[in-house]
Amino acid sequence: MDVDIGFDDILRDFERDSRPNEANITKLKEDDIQELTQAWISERMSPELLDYKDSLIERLLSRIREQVEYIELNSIELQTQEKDIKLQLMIIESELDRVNFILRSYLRTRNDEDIVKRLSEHETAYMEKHFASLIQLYNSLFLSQLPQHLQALDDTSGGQSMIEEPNFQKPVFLKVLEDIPQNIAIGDEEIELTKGNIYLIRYSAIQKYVHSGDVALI
Amino acid sequence: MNRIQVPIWLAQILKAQRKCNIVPPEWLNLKTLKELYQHEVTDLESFSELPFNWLEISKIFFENAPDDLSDEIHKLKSLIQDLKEIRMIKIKKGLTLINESHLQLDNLSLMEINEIRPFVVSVMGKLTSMSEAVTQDEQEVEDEMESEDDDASMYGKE
Repeated sequence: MDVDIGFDDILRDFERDSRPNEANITKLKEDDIQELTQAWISERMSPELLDYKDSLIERLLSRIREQVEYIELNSIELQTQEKDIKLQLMIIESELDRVNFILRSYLRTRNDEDIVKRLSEHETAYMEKHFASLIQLYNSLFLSQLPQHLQALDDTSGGQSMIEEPNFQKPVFLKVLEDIPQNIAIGDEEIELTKGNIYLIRYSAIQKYVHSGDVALI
Repeated sequence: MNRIQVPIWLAQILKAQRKCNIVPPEWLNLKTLKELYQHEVTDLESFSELPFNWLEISKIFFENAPDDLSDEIHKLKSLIQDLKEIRMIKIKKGLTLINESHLQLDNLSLMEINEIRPFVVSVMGKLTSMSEAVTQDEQEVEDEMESEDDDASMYGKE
């Protein structure tokens, strides 16, 4: 019977969370997680760096801090507390783990790509530091031993560029989220993008719809 | 007993604590799965409408909540397996249509896409760069012909 009471309490908590006046807030929070997940997937699948989700990340980070504080506050008194707080903490922790995983992976994926204007402030600082240490390492290891004209790291002559550029012709899988009134043209072919359908198309052809959010990379 | 909608990861935790039963989705039963299989076999042009994560969802049920399913689990498992296989066969047949511009894959699930992703992306990437090389060559030939025409007209004037 104990178990049943605990369970009912949890349900009541949920109901409280989903009451009309708070329903909107809950919905907004859910949408944020959804948006993060989609941003993460798109970032992983797109050959270029996408816009940084500045305000979204801010909101999520502050909510993560709140939850961590909540866990810390309650776990001190755990010994004396009822059993169901334990379960509640476990659920919060699980969700934190899930969100943190996606968030970290999102940020790390972005740092593997590089177009400076879309980086956030922190990312730019990180990248500059990383690049400076890398050059220093290369210099001390072997570059200083090479003839001067071979020391450059951004040589584009000789038929081969040392600067990697995103391949916009790379095919990507995408799902159409909003009907796109205008057909897209590839070569001589015209392709109609219908809501809900899944396509494999080169990135350059649908790039602007990825930016506008009308299609989602999958 | 109250019914409430929660994310599936939360349901898994509650289920592990024996605090809830999970209501299976309306397609995860013998009757519907058989119908879906029938659709896959009869309609070779399209895929039946299963959720984007149907393989993952069925796996979660088989492993964490087998007692919440209304049919015998080994029968369900084998039907899911059959569905997976027939769809993969159809996908592979469909891949013969691949070209350099696009491929339409409606109703494919995430797992199925991931299974073909490495192969399809690299093949289409190669086709794209080949067709580009061809159009570039053609362009160059055209340009040359045009400049020859120009030359000819210049000679004509003289």
